[in-house]
Amino acid sequence: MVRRHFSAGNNFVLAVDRLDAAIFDLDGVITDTASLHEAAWKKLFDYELSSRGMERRFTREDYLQYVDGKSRRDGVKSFLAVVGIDLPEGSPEDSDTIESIWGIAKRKDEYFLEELKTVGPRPYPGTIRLLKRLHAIGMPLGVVSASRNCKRILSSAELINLFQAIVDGEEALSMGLPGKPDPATFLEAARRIGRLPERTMIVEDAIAGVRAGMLGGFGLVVGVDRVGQRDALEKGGAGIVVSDLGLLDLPGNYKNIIKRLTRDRYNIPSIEDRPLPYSQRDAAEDSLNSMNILWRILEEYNNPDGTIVKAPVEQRFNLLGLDKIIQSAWVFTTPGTSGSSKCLEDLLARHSFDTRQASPRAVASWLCIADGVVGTRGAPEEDIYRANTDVFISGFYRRDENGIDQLIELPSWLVPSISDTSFTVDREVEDIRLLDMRNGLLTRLVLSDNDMPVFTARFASLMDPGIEVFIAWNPAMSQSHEAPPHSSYLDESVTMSNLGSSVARAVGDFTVPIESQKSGTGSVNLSRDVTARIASYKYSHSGSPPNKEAVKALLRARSRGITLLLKEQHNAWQDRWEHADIEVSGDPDMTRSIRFAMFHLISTVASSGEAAVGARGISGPAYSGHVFWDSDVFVLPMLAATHPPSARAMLEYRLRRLDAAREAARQSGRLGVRFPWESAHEGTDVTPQSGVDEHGNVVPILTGKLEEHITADVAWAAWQLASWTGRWQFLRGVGMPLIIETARYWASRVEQGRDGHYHISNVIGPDEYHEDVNDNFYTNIMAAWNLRRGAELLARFGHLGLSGRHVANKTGAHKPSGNDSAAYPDSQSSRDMQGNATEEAKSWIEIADSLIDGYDPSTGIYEQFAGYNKLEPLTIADIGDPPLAADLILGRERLQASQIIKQADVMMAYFLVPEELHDELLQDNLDFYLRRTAHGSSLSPGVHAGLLARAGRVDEAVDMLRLACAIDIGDLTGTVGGGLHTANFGAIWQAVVKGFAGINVSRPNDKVLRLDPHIPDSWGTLTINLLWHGKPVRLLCHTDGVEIFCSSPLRVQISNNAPVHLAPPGGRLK
Amino acid sequence: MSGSDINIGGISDYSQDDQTADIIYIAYPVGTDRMEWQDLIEAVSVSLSLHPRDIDITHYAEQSSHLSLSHGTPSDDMLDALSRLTCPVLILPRSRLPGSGKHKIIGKSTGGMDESLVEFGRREQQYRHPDGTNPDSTNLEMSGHTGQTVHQLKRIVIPVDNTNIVSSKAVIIVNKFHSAGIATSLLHVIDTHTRPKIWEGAGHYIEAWREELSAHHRGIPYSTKLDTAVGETSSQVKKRLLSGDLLVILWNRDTGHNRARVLRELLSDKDNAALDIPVLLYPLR
Repeated sequence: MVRRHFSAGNNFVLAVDRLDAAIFDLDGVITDTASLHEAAWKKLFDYELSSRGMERRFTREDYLQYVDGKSRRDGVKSFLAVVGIDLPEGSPEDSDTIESIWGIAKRKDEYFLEELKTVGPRPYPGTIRLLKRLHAIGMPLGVVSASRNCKRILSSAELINLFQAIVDGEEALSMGLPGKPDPATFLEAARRIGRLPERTMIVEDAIAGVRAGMLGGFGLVVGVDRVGQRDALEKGGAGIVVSDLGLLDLPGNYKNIIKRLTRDRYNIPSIEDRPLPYSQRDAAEDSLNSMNILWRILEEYNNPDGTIVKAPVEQRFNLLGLDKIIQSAWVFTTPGTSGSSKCLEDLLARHSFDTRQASPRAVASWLCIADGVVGTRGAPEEDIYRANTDVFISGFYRRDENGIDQLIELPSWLVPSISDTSFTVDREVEDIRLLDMRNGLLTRLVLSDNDMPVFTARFASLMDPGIEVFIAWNPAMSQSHEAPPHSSYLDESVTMSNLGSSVARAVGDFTVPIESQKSGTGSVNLSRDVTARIASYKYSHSGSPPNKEAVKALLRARSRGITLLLKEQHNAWQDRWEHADIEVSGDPDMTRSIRFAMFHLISTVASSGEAAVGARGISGPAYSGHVFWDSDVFVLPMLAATHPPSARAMLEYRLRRLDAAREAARQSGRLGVRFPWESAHEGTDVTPQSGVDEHGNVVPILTGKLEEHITADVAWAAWQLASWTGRWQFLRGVGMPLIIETARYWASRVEQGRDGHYHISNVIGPDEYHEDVNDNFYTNIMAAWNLRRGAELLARFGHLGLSGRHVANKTGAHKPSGNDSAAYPDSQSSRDMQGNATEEAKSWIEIADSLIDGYDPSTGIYEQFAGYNKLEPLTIADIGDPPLAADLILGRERLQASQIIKQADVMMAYFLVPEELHDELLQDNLDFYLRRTAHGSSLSPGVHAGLLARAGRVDEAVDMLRLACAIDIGDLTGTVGGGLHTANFGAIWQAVVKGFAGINVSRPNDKVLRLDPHIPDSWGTLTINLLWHGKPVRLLCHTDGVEIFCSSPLRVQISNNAPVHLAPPGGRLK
Repeated sequence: MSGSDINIGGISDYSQDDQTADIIYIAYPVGTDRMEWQDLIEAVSVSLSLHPRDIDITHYAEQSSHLSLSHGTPSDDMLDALSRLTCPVLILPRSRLPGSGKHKIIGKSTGGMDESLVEFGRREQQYRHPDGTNPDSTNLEMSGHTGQTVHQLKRIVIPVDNTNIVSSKAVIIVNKFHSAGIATSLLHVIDTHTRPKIWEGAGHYIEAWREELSAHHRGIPYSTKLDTAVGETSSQVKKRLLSGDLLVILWNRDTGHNRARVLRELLSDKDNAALDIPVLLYPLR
């Protein structure tokens, strides 16, 4: 456990900005019920011992060693086993007169209640003070206790109202949750609070409890040592041990704490010593952002003698600096739907990506604004009845009449039109729409010769997801500053899904004063108001619709005011870009395209809870909002490297659907978990069984049945999170099933052939042109990788047996052969479990080593699948220039019988798990498969760009990267109107970071940042910001070297086989 | 802004975008009896609210509003001549379709009889309600002719390529003919020029692609068909033309290399079979 909370004398100052929640044990932590329990246990066992004529008496050591922190039943069982008293288990219904484990446990409860009644709960003053201070800064609190009297004790101590979640012994029993040291009860409390374990603090006094905190992957485990067991607590996993919680302090400035809690919940330190050249450029860019345009317009038009007011429209265009803004790599520009926008079109005609010919729906996708939870498509305000302005909530599905989950399209919060905000749209205007990616703001400016300008802006609050803001400023309609803020419209609505989830929305319109602010010049009060609309969305996975919460959030946002909301938005995006931005100094258009991709990735994925990232994110309805491998393999790495909480939320989505994946494995006669090819609300497979082809014929869709590699892809994603963050406790704890259970699936999925090798038959790889193939290269390689990583974890941590036990308890899965080696029974000792785990791990390694990989030593080429080399040897040049629709050109039958592939499975494996393959064969395989690849998948160009760069073929790599960027900005699939290709965005990021910068995170447990840059001359300097093992790192990759900036010591290897350097903290390695 | 405010929630009107001139040229080959097609000319003119003027396709000369083309001249020359016309051009076939028998044109009445059938003959016109009765001829916006042969305009076929400009113009034309009671069918052919560069195949992708195609033509009447086909556009168009169709080709009057492919193909067709179907050439700009 990494200690990040510093010590001040005997006190510890909690870094509460790194915590989202705290969960406390009850007995011995909050209340001194431990002494009451101890007294009750002593009374109970002394009676049991003496009644059997035994001399031994129950001691304090016995209490600490055998019963403290355990459930009554476990405590009884544990101590009686030690003293050799053998009693039947009995049942929870046994009365206290029955001589069974459960009967005696019930007797103990009665003794305890007697003590409680007599002595009282006695809360610890230090704990009370800490609880109240945490509560005061808004930190959610929970209690987990094995005691069945938990609520009664908290009530009698008048503390119960401080807690949002209480998981007591009663509930644990009814839910079947195992007791500590299993982390299940703590995880349940975190789930109820709605916070990630790694952002949650556990406070415990028992060794079993501390261990549970560690195993659950919680961010900080505080041990409370009141009895002299500090070492044992530390050994058990406590990051901090204090003798009393009164010794835990919060930082002095409460306002800062609150600000941090609301502004940045995540554990991302700043680079203290920011490199100068970059900062100066940032400042210059700041002056060009659309926020400043807003201030400038407001100021200019507040002054009737202002030069802009008097100037003709073309001059105003320049006076406002719009020409510079449009050329900024932070701004993505399109014409609006009104007017000729001649000035703008002239400018866009010089753009690399000319956005003028795009369909309105594609524009609506491009300009989607989202906060990870709510996505609002970017149609112009007057276009709202054309269904371009839908709203999507991440993970909010309904089940259609065919039983398929569909992402729900909600009506826009911009309907009906905002009151008092209207403008004339004629043909003689400049209608400009600017997506300000630096600030997460979509603005629009309408300029005409004859009228005052109209300015609108909208954003989805990245700091406060679910809050949407629209501002319209129209000088002709605007009111005097003296007019008090008023509300003209308030609406509440609820959308229910037939899957039990619901979304509540509250919308309010306000006329509010706005404070104008210029960069570095302080603020200026204006005598104009803006009309604003704030919408608040609250999502509930189940239960009652959260109407009240939506209204409260709306009112809270309104009370903060538009100026503050804008500033918060600016700050939130600045924070994200600080650790994510990429710049190609010699190619601003490429920079803009990369930022466009990253902007939408950041917007799409939530930072807490679970994140269901569909193929088109929350920017459109296409692909039904279903979650594919796209999210795990393509989207997640960027987030793991720039904002780990979002990556963790994506994995949380998978973790919460493990049961469905277990059931899928069981139903196919396998062990472990099998993730569905398409997933939505419940985690069952929602892949349509049939679809319509280009001729209108109904054809079967086999991917749901056969595209199994997703199971290994999810495991790979979990490993990526650990690799980028260096936080392996996630995989040792709650994330372990994502590796172990997936490996177990593959171990039961393979078949041993007569050749002695293992094979995987009847699958589809990423190349979906060829269905139902055997020994697909990608599937086999990923399965082998999964088995090796699973074996590694199992060998080290298998004695914990957590995931195995879950299998046994929840599904009773077993091998179809009847040779049941499925799970670790509860009664097995840790040593037995370790023994079994070691054996199982060995068998996994054996399978991985023996899985066919299709390597042909005579050619150095890996065969895509068994029999591929015997197919018609067509190359892509035989049918045209890629990318092309090979299936339309050749027809399905001929295509399947040819070597033309949609995307190269061999290359995909090289992209993800190069450590499984021969590095020196990359060039030959790249050449071989590029000649056969149609790039009939939007995922293909990004992958090939990365590999071409890795292979040093940078010019080809740049061309391929441009192609990847054009997929969305050029609408190369013709479907961008249905939403953006989020996975393509992830592929673009990986191509730059893993390809051009050559960052390699594939080595297990690697502590060294390894990079091997290949920078095209035309690029100048490639600047990459990211987080490596929690440390902010800035890389400046030049054609002839690398500069590295970091905030703390960093071990770096530049290019393969080079020595490892230590980059100094706060400085740079050149 | 001041003046006539438009609420942010307003809807723009497609018809406002149609800035085509108010005349339609009628082009017909040598030897064609223009009057033979008078019924069709009038039906199209009335539907589009345009006044017809003639082009005689006999020899190449340009005289103000009268442009003549030589039949059988290379298609490039014909294209070049046609590209000079900024108005719609109705290109007539040389003769009635073989074995066409009795033809009808479904026209629009102004007397609330949208469903009525209007039959035109060479020298007389007959009006007929669906129930077989004759309506009051004064309710109709068409001049009459009498004759024994009538042409039945069953359907308008418009190939579309999924570009904004073609889609928006197609929607306008479809609605005009729809108002005249004439059915329209849009045809999108996935050919080498129109197919997306990245085509991800059956299932979600094609569903999404079709959705975008439909969205592109939002505003067409519910009853208007939007068909798709795979192949070369001209051959797919020809394959789908039936007796009684009018083919509408939307073009930007650009006759450069690889442009106006369908029209070029039709004009250079040796058998000229396609030109047995009248073609309305509709400029986009």
